[in-house]
Amino acid sequence: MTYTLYRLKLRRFFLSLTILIPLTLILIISSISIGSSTIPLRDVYSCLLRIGCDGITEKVIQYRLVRTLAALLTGCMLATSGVIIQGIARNPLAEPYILGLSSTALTAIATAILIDVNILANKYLITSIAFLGALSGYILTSTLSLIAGSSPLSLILSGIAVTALFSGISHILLYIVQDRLKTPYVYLLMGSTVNTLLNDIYYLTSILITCLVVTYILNIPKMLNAYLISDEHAKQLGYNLRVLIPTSALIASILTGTTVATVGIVGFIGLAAPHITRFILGTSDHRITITTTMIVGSIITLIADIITRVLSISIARGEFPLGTVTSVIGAPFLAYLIIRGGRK
Amino acid sequence: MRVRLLATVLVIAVIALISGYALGLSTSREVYTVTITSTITKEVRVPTSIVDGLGREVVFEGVPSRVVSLAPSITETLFALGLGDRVVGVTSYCNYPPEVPKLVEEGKIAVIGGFWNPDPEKIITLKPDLIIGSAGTPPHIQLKDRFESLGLKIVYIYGSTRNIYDLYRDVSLIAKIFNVEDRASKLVSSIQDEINNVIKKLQDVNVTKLKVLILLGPPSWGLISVGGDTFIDWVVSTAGGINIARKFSGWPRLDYEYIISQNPDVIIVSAMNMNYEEVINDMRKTLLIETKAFKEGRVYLLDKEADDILMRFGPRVGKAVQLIAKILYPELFGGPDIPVVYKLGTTVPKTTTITPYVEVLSS
Repeated sequence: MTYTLYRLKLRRFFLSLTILIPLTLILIISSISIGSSTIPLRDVYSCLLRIGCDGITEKVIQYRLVRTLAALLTGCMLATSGVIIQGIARNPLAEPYILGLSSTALTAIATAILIDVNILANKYLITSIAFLGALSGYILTSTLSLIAGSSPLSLILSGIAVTALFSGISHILLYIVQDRLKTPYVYLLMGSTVNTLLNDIYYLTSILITCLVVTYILNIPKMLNAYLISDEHAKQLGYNLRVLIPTSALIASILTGTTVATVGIVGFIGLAAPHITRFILGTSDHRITITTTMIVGSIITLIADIITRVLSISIARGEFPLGTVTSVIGAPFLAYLIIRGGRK
Repeated sequence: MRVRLLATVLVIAVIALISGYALGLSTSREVYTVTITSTITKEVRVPTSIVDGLGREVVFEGVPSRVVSLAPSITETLFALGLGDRVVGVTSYCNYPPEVPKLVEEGKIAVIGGFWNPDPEKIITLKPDLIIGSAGTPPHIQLKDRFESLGLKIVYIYGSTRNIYDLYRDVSLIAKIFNVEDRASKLVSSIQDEINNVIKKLQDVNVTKLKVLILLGPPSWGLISVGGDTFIDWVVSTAGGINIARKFSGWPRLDYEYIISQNPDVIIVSAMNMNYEEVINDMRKTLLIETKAFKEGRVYLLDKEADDILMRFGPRVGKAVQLIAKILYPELFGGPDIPVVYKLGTTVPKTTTITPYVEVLSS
């Protein structure tokens, strides 16, 4: 019985992969072709396959490739992080930023700029400061949660407390930064792939692969499955919850913190991609949802990135923050799935 | 009894009469009545009424004597019109003309907060009889009802200037309030002369126009440029350049591929008080090095005074046009002479001397 169910699940999983992976590839190609100067698809292929390319087109394609990959990786990482966080919180409303990472990262950057303005001109320094800020947010949240007895509820609640405190502090600091730099435009950590460079892609990829390898080696997906049923069930199978929860939270935080540091804060993906995946697969088996959600997350982000580019040209207002577009395109789809799921 | 009383009264009356007469004799004088009629001409000013940037009609009975300025460009205009002695409050951004920071230091002018966040309480304690704000700045408009309920007079210049005529309108608005229209026309013609010189030189030589990218801050700040409906775009096109972000409006965020496909000849960056080398290094790491401007070393950072001149649309706009023209066509106008312009590849000047304040208005 269970075996048949498992096979059914697997069949659905592979079926969805055969649809989702070509879709991602199509999106990547069109993402490279669409932009302020549209490149014909033929040129995109000939450039990517190194058949022939003229100077400017090559540069533009290089840049767009970096942008596209940044969007793809951000989607992957946030979606994975979302699945893990929703698993350990046992709460479908949990999302990657709930552990207070984004606000502490923002606070760290704002403080650094106030100490020395020149930091603003050094992208790598900003990235590392934001990453350290995000990690210290995680450490603070888990310490609080540990003091409160380290239950999943206490983890979420301490995350909310840390978020509230530091988003307040960061806004005060940003207000001072705005005055110090004499500019009303504060774009810090506003999610956008405009500023990503090739090195950021290496950084994102290496972190993503490391985190995935660690997740599967430690058998976290299976542990989370057992944990989702009940604490007792997980304990019966010999899993130590006092290790499982902090480790998975740490992996989720590293994934989120990396995207916050390189791309900025992109909302909604971490919340919606896991839901959409569960609706598609009809299960919350972490062994397969983690893989699928990565693809779903990157599809949403890729579409959002293409739309931001098209909007910036057609409305002539410049680039929009990515997070606003992700929620605008992701929410209707999620609503559709909820209605369909509810009718069943 | 009655007789005695009558006699006493009579005696007193007689004494009073005699003494009164004697007194009158000793002090008597000739009395003249002189009526002096002279005409005193008292200047009664006909109330001036102006229409401000919000389209309100404001009536002035007399000339205001305690003025608070809510923007650096307003402060510069007031001083250029010779009204500096009436200014009692400025923003923390106001640093020109040089006497402003000096007067602030001496305590003669108070600082009322920043340009974006003026402090209403500080303004009220200064007891101004006129506050001048900008209709293009939302925080200034929010102050309107508050000040009017307290009986303070607040006037808005048009503010959101797109070209020189908008500036002239603001200058004449301020001049009308203070009844110094003659000084305004002098100021306007001196600005126009500076601009006309540049335009004429460009026309004579008929140069090929250069494509310019203006960046506010280093790329890490977000590649923010200036759109086609801003005054900086007007300055650039007047100085003979083409702003590559023309087709956008406001202060757009660009992306690298747009910049590369436009391939600007010159890049001008507002340095925001940062270290010049660091900003250049930040740009080197990005795709900006692929542009013609970087390959030919034509990347300029503007800081302090040069930055203020370009970013504020005030009486120094003639200088802004000259500055951009000097950056774009040094063979025609000579290189930029303001020391806080840093060019890629040159060493940072150790001591940045500030150029002496050139009086725009020759009084």
